[in-house]
Amino acid sequence: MTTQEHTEDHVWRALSAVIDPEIGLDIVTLGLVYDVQVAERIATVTFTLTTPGCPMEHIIQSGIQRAASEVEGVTEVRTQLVWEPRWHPGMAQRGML
Amino acid sequence: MLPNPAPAVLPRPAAPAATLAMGDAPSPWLPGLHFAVALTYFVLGSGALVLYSDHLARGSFFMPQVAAATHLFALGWIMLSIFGALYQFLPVAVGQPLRFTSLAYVGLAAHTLGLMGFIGGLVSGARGLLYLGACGLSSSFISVAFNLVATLRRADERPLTWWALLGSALFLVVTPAYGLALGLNLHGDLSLSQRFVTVASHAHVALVGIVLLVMVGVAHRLLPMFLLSHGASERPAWAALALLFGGALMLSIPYRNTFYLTAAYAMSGLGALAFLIQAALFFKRRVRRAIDPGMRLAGAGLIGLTVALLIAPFALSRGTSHPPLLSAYFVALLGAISLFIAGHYYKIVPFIVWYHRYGPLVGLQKVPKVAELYSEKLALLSGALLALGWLGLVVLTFVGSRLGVWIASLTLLTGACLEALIITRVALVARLSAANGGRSPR
Repeated sequence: MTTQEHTEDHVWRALSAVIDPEIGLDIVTLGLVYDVQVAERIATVTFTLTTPGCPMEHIIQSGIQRAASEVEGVTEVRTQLVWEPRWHPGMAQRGML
Repeated sequence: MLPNPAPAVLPRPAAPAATLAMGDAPSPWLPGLHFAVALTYFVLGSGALVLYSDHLARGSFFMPQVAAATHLFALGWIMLSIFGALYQFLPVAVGQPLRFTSLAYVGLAAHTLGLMGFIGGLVSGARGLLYLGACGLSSSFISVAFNLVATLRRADERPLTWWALLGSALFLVVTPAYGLALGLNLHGDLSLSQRFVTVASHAHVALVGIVLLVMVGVAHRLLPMFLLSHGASERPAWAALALLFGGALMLSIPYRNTFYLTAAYAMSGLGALAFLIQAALFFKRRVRRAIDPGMRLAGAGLIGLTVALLIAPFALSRGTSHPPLLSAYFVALLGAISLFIAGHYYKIVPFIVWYHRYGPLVGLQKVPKVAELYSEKLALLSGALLALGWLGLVVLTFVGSRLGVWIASLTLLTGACLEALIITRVALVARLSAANGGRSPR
């Protein structure tokens, strides 16, 4: 595993601390995180929300930034909120909902 | 490949950003104060039912004391809950901050004082106090309508929720105008049946044009989110919107032809039915099978609305010739809406508290879930008492049992007090808990 992959793995783990308080599950388990890439100590997290206009948008976005910025080897965090592919409950880890 | 929008950047160290966390939502004080006053009126209204249960059991629909209890529910509990929820929900729904925040506080003060004067005037028979109270209430309604339109006009998109809230703004102006006209003619030469037609139209313009339209608009966004329901058709909601708006508009026009009124009520009833179908679709398509206490109570409210809808044709066609049925119908309708709203308190208030107290800690430390901010068992007990009280009131008012109505009112009052305590505890104790490392207050 390269250093970059190692850091990405740690970012994924750190994101497990970000929960959707209404559903009670973290955003990784829910399948809301689509991608994590680390390049030149910059972590880019691509994520979505369960529904457009979700009131949790700001909380989850800032939670991602806080959690990922705690990871060793990350000096900057970028978040990308996307709506394609649209999230559906099948994206959550099986049996968790 | 995923699209690549402009990324939001936060260089390390990532200090909690208050502005980012708060978004467009207003200060929690604005909805919080509305909810606090609304809950107080919920308890007072339930207490008034206990106090005046004799009148209710006799089907004395036009007794000032019964009207006072009805208005404590309709104007105090239901309307203030709706206004508070709108001030919290609107900025999130339309992506724009509330246009006039100060006006919202002034409106709340006018509403609270106005309702006190209005109720005092009704019970004591002091006409001056009654009109003064009505003026305070009217200014509150108009201020909410003004704020609603001013905020909605800034929105970039116009989905169903936008149209529903815009429609309700019209009836926020029509309802007090209707009420004032009714008040001025209260001591005129109207016969009992004429007065019934006018009172029924006034009540239904408010309930259909404001309450149900807002319920359609807000539930369209909140129910799928709360139930985690995806892929349900939205057609019933659009039908509900059109029919409820049309029905309330027809009832707003003071034309008293029987065929015309029947068409207006039929349109309103079909609109309510379409809303119930939409809500049932959301419940049916939910992914999470377990339903929390808040959604259970809201579901009970929807079942209650179905009951009210079934009684409506009989109650409204017989009017004052069958007072127990008429009283039971209004109890069913107001009670069902009350249950639906009471259920949403378990979703909205803990969420607001969580958002402001624990939101900035997400990603840094373990935070409680929204549902962990209150005791599920107590919430279920409170919901059961409210639902039982409502059911008892409907059945026993129809039967005319004085003792039964008193017991049912007492059950409702106990449920209302318990809910008020649970919600107050969430609002107050969570604050202390946040200062104590973010532990849940349970």
